[in-house]
Amino acid sequence: MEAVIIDGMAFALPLFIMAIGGIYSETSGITNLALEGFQGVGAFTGALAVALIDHFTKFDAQQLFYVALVFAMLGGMVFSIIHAVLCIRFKADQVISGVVINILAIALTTFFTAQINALVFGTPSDRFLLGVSDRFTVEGLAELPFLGAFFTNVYPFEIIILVVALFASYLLYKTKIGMRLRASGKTHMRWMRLG
Amino acid sequence: MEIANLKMEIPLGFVLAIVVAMILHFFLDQTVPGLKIKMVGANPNAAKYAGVHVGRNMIMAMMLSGCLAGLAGVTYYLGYFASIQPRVLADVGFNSIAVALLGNSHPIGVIFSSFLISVIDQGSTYMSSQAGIRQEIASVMIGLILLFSACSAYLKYKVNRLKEMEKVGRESDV
Repeated sequence: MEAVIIDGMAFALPLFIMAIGGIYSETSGITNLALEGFQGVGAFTGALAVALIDHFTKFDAQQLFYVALVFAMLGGMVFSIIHAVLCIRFKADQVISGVVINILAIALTTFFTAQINALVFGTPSDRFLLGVSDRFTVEGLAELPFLGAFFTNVYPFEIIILVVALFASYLLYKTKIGMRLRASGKTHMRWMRLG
Repeated sequence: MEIANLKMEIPLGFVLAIVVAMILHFFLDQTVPGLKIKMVGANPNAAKYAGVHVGRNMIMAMMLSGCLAGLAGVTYYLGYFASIQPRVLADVGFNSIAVALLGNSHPIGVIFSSFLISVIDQGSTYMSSQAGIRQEIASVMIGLILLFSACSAYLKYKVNRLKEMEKVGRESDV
């Protein structure tokens, strides 16, 4: 029973944070089906950064984990500019744009992985070798009968995801930026008339 | 069969696909149900005003597309592989949305655009063995073609704008 909660949290929280990203996109009125593409490209840039740093220096895998997080966020951010340009400037159909970005993401990541492996590392492989992140256990709370499973074998990224989700919800509902985002999505016409 | 000294085997699925494309072209353009489907797609409100059942025709279009997709699946599995694993599905489904877009949503155009995409896809193995180019670049090429063909609405808008501006210019000259 504990394994269900432990592994379930480890797999459900990335899905959760991707859904939060989707909420932001839907709130501003753009249908975003390209989330899987963003996930792929973000993972690719994070893994690429870790593989390059690992090749040229000798850092510990645990410290590189946070570098991978930052680079993954940057990579996803830059790739989503394509979807934005296509939907806003070129007025493409948003569903079609999302599906095309998904296809493009798969194609680009496999191509670049094979190419970079051949050029920089000199191996004809089609994947990057990475280390596995450590898990930690909160000593006192892990003894609880049912809820203790939430605190055993926790990956550090789960905490980061929860913090980011709380910050995202605060940003959307309690700040001026979030209110403008919400206004521009739901009542698009009214917003434009008010200027 | 042999045409012009080239021996080819034409699978039945190929002939069937072209025949179905022509039947669909006739159905959409020249028959009343096809016209209703096109009307519902172009402007649902106007269709409802004209008395066409919007929901019923949407479901009919969806059933047609499901029927054709099933035909594609069966020719793929029974024709080329002669076996099917229930868990592993071919990935051509998402490519087909983009192929429809590239063919400008017309049945005859889709024949040619699917030719283009398949030629690039299947030719990538020969490209990698003959010219030394990496095989995955084929999917990058297809992805980029589809990315730019998604902008077709913008080009239509620009062309219309240019035509209007030219018309206004000519009227102001007169």
